[in-house]
Amino acid sequence: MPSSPDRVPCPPAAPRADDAREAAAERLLLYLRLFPMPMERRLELALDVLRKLPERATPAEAVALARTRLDKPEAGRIPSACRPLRRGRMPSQYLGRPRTEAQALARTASRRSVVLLLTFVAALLALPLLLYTAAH
Amino acid sequence: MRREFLNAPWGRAARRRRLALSLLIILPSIAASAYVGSVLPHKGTTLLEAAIVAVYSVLFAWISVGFWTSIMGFFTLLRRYDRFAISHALRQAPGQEPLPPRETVRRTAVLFPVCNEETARVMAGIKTTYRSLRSTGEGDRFDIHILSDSKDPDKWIEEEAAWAALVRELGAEGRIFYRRRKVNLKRKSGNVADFCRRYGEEYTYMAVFDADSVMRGSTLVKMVRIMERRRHVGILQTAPACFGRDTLLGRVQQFAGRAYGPMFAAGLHFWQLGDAQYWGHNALIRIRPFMRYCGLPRLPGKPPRGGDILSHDFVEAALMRRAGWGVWLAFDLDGSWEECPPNLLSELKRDRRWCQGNLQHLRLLFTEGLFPAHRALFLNGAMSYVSALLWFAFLMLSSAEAVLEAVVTPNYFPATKSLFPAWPVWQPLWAMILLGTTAVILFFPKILSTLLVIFKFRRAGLFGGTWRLSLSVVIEVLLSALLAPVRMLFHSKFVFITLLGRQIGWGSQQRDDRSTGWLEAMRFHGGGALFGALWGFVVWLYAPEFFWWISPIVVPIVLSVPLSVFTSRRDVGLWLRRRGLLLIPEETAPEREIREVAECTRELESAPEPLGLPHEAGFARAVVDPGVNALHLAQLPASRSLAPDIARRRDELVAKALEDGPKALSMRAKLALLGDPERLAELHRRVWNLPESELAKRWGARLSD
Repeated sequence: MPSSPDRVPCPPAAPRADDAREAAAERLLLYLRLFPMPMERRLELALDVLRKLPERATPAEAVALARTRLDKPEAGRIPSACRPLRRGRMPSQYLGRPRTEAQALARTASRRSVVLLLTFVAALLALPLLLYTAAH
Repeated sequence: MRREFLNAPWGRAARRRRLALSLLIILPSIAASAYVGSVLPHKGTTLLEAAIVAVYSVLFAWISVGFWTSIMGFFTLLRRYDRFAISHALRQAPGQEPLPPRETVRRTAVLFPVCNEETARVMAGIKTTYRSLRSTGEGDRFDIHILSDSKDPDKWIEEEAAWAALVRELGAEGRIFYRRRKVNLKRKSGNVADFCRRYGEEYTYMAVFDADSVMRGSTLVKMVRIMERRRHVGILQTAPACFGRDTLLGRVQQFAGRAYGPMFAAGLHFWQLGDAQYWGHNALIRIRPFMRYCGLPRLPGKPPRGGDILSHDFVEAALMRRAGWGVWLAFDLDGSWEECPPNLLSELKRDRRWCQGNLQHLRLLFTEGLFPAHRALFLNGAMSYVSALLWFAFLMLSSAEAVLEAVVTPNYFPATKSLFPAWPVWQPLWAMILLGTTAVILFFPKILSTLLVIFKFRRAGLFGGTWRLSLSVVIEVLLSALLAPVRMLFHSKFVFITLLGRQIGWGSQQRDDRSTGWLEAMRFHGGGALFGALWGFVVWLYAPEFFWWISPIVVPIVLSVPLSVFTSRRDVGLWLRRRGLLLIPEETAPEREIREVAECTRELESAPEPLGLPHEAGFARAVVDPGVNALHLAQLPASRSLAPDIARRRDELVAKALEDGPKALSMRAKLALLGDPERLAELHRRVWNLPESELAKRWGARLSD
C-alpha cells in the first residue's frame, strides 16, 4: 500500500554537515573578530582554517585550529606599554636629627626658626599662668 | 647639607612678610587670650579656666593664620600684582633672557598614578589632557604614563584594556604608556619614585596628576616655559579648582574652592614665595633634583608614627628646598582642575589618611637642614587636625566649667588675704563680643572674596549673578557651620587614634556621586550622635543657660546622621543648580577640557562590551576575550620555569577556573594566573573548547546575541 509522505513518522533530525560547518564558521569568525588583526588577514585566516577543518568539526575545533596559527598578534596591533628602561638612581635622603641628643639640642636651639616657634607657643601657654599669678 | 642655589633673591622680602605675619598672629592672640580670661567667671584664675585660656590662645592663633593669609591674598588680587609671582617669567622683561625657542624645550612626562580608581573617569582625564596638549602644537614634547598600583586583578585588566583602546583611538602609540607595579612599595610616592628610577633619565620634567586631575595643555606648556626660564625652580605647583560634583556637599565645596580659593592661594603665595608646598598633584617637577634630593626613606618604628611617609608631598617639597631649589605656587595660572569628595563620609575617610600623614610630619620637625618655612608648614599641617582636638578640648573644658559653676558652691573667701569676697562674675555681653570677633575672623575673608568676584573681577555672572552668588555664600556658610562640629568630632578622633598608635587603612577614594545610605551613616556617625546627645543632656541638666551657647555645636553633632545623608544627595545638589545656586564657572561657562572630561567619561562607560562581559569583569575578559587575552599576554614578560610545587598549584587553579569559572578563584589566585603567561594562554584555549551554554554559565560570556 502506498503511503503518502505526510504519514511517514519523522526520524530525529540529524545535524546536517552544513549546519555544523556554519556553526564552526560563526564561532571562528567571532573569535577572530575579537583578535587584534587586520580585516583582510582575518578573513583569509578564517577561510583557510575552514577549508582545513574536517566535515563535521565542532566550533571548538575550529577555534583550536585557528589558535595554532595565532601564536602572536601581528606587530603594530598591540601597543607597547612602556618605553625602554633607562635606569637611574634615587637615593633615600637622611631625615634624622643630628646624631646625639646633646648635639640635637644644641643645634636645634641655635635654629632661629625653632626658637621663634617655641617662643610663640610658650608665649601663648604662659599667658594664662601670668594671669593666674597676677590675680593672686 | 649640600645646597645647589644659595641666594634666593626673594629671601629678604619673604623674611619681612613672615615677620609681619608672626606679629599679626602673636599680638592679637595675646590680646584675645587676655580678653577671654576676663570673660570667665574667675578671670582665668582657676586651673580649669587657665586651661581654657591656654587652649583658646592656640586656637585663636591658628584661625588668625587663615585670616591674615586671606587678607594678604585680598590685597594681592586687588592690586592684581605681586612682584614675585612666578608667572612673570612668561613675560619678557628688559634685560631678561628671552624665552627658550619652542624646539629646544625638553621632554616632559605627565604621570597619572592610579590605585583601584574608576577607570572610565581616569581614561577620560587622560584623553582630555592628551587632546588638549596636542592642540597646543607642542604635544610631541609630552608623554603620558599611567602608573598603576591597582591590586584588584579585575581592575588591572580593565585599566590595561582601556589604555590599549585609548591608544588605538587616539593613535597615541609611543605617547601614552601603562605600567602596573606588582609590589606597591611606599604607595604613591613609591609609585612616582619607581617611574623616576626606570624612566626619569629620559625626561627633564614630570607633571604629577591625581587620578581625577585635568589640566589644560596650554597651562602645562606655560609651566614648562616658566621652569625653563627660572632654572632654580624645582617644583611648580598650581592651585587646582574643583569641578564635576553634583551632590550637595560636593557642590558646596567646589563653590567654596572656586569663590574663595583664588584669594587664599594668593595669600599663601604672599607668605611662602619660594618656600611653597607641593600638594602631590597638578604640579610640575624638575626630575633631576627630585631624583637626587627627594628620595624618601622609611621612618624608624612602626606605623602610624613610623614606616612609610604617608603625606609625602610636603616632605618632598621640604627636601627640594633643603637642596636649594625653589618650590613655587603659581597661584595665577588657571586651567588646573581636580574633583572634591562627593559626600561627608568619603571626605572624612580622606581626612583620616591625611591626619595620620600630617601628624607623622611632627617627627620631621627637627630634621637636619630643613628651611624654617617648611618646619612651620609641617606644624601648620599637623595643626589642621590637632586644632580640632584643641577645639574639642576647649568645648569640653568650657562645659565642665559651666557645670562646676552650677554644682559647686563658690568659695567667696579664698585662702589669700583680701578685703573683699571673690565673686565669680560671668559676663555674657563680653562673651558675645568674643564670639563675634571669632566669627569675623572666620567669615570676613569669605565676604572679601565675594566682593572681589563681584566688583574687581566682575565675574559674578559666572556664579549665577550677584544675588545668587550672595545667596550661595550664605548657603555655604550655613552648611559649613553645620558640618564644622561633625568634622571637629571626627578629626579629634583621628588625632586621638593616631596618637594611640593605631593604624589607619589607605584605600582608594570614592570619586563618583554615590549618596550615603542611612545604615552606612548610622554606622559611621551613630556613636558621635549619641555622644553629642549625652553631652547636651548633661549640660542642659546642670547649666541650662550654657546649653544655648553650645547648642550650635551639639545640635549638628546629634543630627549628624541625617546631615550626612542629606548633604550626600545628588538630587538636592541638582535642585540647587537648576535654581542657579552654588554655581561655578565650570558649570556656567565650561572650558573645552571640562566638557570633554564629562563626555569622554560617558562615552567610555557606555562603550560596547564584547561577548557581553562587563568592563569591570577584568579577569574573565583576560581569559575569554581573545583581544584582551592577546593584549595582556603581550605585556607579560616571557614565561619562566616554575618550581614543581608552584607549577602543580597553578595547574590546579587552571582546572578549578575551567570547572567553576572566575567566581571560584580568590583575588590572589587570579593574580597568579594573570602573571603566568603559559597558564593564562592554556586557560584561554580550554575555555574556548567549552560548549556555548557552559561558557555563558561559568564565565558569563555570550557568544551570540
